[in-house]
Amino acid sequence: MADPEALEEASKALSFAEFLERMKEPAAADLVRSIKSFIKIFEERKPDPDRDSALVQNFLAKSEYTFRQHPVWSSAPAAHQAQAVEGLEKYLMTKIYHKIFGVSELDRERDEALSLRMAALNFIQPKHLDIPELYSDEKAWQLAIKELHKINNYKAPRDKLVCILNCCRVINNLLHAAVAAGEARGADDFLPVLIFVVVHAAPPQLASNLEYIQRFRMQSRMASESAYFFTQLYSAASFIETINTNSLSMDADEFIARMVTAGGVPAGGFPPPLHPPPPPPQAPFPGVAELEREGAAAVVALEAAGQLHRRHRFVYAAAPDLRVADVSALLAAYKELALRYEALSGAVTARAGAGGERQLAAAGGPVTPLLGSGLGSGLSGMGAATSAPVESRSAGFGKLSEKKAAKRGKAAQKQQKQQNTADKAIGQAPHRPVDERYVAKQLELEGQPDADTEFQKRLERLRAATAATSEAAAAADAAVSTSILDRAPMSAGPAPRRAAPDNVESEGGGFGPGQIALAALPLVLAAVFVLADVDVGGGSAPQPTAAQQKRQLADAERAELQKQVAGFEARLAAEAGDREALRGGGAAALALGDAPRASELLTRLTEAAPGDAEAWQLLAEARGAAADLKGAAAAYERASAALPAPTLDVLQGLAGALVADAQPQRAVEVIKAERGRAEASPENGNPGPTTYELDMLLAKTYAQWSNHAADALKVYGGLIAQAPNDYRAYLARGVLLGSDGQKADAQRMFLQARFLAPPTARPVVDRVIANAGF
Amino acid sequence: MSRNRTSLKLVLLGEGRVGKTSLVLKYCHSQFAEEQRATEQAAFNSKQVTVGERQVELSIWDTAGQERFHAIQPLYYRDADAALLVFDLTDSDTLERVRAWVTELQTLVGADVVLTVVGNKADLAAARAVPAAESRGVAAAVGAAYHEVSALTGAGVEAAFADTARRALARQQRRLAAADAAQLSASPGVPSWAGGRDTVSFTGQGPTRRRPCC
Repeated sequence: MADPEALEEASKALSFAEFLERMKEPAAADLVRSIKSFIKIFEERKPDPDRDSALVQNFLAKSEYTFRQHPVWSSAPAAHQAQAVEGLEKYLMTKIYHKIFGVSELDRERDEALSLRMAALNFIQPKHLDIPELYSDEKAWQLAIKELHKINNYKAPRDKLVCILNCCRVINNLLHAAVAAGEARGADDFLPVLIFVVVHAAPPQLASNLEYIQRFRMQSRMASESAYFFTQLYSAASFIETINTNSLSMDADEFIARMVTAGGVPAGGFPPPLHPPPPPPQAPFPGVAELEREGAAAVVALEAAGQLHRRHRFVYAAAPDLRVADVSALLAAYKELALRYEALSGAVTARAGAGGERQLAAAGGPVTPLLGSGLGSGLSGMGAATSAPVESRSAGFGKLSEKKAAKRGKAAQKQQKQQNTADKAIGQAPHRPVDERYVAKQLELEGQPDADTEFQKRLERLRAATAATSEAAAAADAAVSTSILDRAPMSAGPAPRRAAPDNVESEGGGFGPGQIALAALPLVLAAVFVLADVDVGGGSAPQPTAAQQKRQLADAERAELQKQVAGFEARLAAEAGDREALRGGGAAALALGDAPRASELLTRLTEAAPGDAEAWQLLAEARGAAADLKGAAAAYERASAALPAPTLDVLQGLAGALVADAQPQRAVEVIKAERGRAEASPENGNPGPTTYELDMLLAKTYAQWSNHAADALKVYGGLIAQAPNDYRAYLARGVLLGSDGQKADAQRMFLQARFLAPPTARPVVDRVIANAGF
Repeated sequence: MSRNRTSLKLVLLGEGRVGKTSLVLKYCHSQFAEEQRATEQAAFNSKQVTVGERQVELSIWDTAGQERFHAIQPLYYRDADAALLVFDLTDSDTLERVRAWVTELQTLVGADVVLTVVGNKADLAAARAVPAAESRGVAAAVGAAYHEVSALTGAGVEAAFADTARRALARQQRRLAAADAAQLSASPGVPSWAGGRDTVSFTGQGPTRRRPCC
């Protein structure tokens, strides 16, 4: 397409008009119909950039062929046929533009980050990029800037691309001066000039534009010169996105000072990042997290007025309270809440721009729009935060922690509450346990029948958090991070789980009191991620985890747990095969750090219910806590086998146990197999963890396997490519590179991590970096 | 598409001072000087060449060699058929850099990417710092062809590009043949654009790879 390009350019407008004219012919009716029905697909569906790209590319490629065969076009000269497809691309993309341009969360975040950075870099002069004096042509630069700005005036990918080409042509002409002078340095000069132009043009939505062109410009036409200059601009944008002290010819301190002066860098105490911080916290419209924080007061008030349980009848329910008959009510309530949550957070996010979502994303990985998992990632941190620090240690990835937190919350067996009586009085009893005999027994054993201690505790924390100022929140965060960091990472390390009937809870997992919003959320989670992903020290033996956990249990909590154990033991004495008592007793014993007893009870449970994945998982954790690594791994494998697809926490546990048992290779095999399965799963039909989550786990496992740092680096590199805004992979890469002596590269990664980490996660990031010796 | 109009993408790598741009300009503009002047570019050049009986459009992608752009260089590798790794025969440091590039290329584009190591400034015999045996050894170790050229005199330039184009075309033919075989064995309904994309334009890369890594 090299030579006809100019000709095509000249006749572009004519060609599109001609295209429309021709398509109005009666003979073209079938073509028009097919195009219209194709457009309709986009009107009805939720946008999904990758899928949409494939759809459009496929349609255009097919149409190219169809047009050539069609009576309306077959008689036209070949050049016109080629233009017809261009016309189609333009028509089609103009029609669906509003549905697909700039809708990707990730692109929008990058737009915002890029805009901030370009604005901050406004101080850049040609000398900072070593641009020779020869090119100091203000007029030409202004012209190039103007051309680039036009990119947002057009909707068709080709038109946008032409704007890029025009901008590049202006720069090329500049470079001719050097060619004439016999000093041609080609791309060595071109790229710096382009970067300079881009920074000063600062076109809005640059990332969205680039991705849009890449996705929707007809693949067959994206070749040669167009592809080259597109790549140049893409590279320039990437350079700006990742700019750091080494990127410019200027003193590092001066660079930092400039960036700080340019605004956006908070006056906080942490080592100044090189770039303006990510925008979400400063977003003009509060994000979901901020609103949650504000709303926490309302929740407290609601609870104080005794209204909370009226609106959400299961908030005080403990797992054993639930009966099969409750499932449908619980599920209905859950679904309603999920929808309402999604609607509200979606609206908030839309107003806040990418701000709110970024925090969620940082906390829970990519935000999934699906009903269930969306709720998961959104609420994920809440449980962890309300019950931090104990719970958060064991949590790995976003979705998981919510479940774990809920499990943990419920591991403590709560029986009757004050509210129960109240409920009965107002006729809301049906969801309460029917088994009064059992209840009475528990009441007797617990001695303080009215107290839903766990829930009360959470409320207390919530109240405290509501009252606290942001400084206090930050301090709490730091404390949390510290305690987390001091401990062993995820690994086979046990997390005592809920004692609960199975399905009920896995459906409404994040649904306990833990769902109440708390400010500290994203950061606690972030801390967990960092921890889970960054540990490269290898041997994360599970024993200390349990020991530490034991130490950390507050006296009151321990007393509580001991009471529970006694209660369950009593039930078991009455009926040795009481599964719920086995489960509850096992979980409570595990929480107390009595791994042998927990193992024993849970082994009995798995014998009684060999298909119970939850039981196997609990047993695995108990064995891990008892340093029975092989046993733990075996139990995790049983848990995995009992599930349609292993959950991420099961996989994490299994991998951790295998690594601790000096079988990293097996761990890698397991994760890879699972990854293959996830990859082969149909879109949206993947029951297990995503490939991204699996890669994160894979990388971590490699990192713990001696002499496999290179593999870990590679996987982290892939993760960065996939989600360039996720600071975790940068941080982990940095640690690996640092321990390999590649200080400069490590530094570069750390800069990225620091920059990308949400402000709340920064203390942790800084700590990890400090621990790595930087 | 690529059956009738064969096009090859050649990535040009080399540090700023090694003279890679002069090399391309020499190659692209020595023959059809008059005709080419209008479209002459400093960063992107393409040239119609005849390989055997085939007309091939050779797109030459110049890249910025400065250290500060190292991280974004892989963006240019995507879909590359061949790479020309240029170093300066009078500066042994520039040869070191070649090794790093090769590793990166083979990781990102595929082990079978066609590589040519080119030692430039062969005319400066007196200042020569890299013995032919050494650079030949580096090239051989990474499975690359080796040429010594002078962008100043033009010596060896044509041969280096022609040799690279020839091998890149052979690689492409091999891949197309493999793709054909794959398509034939697939069900007739399947080979759509998507299939073509994996086999033709995304050569050497995993099918899921969309954005080059940084």
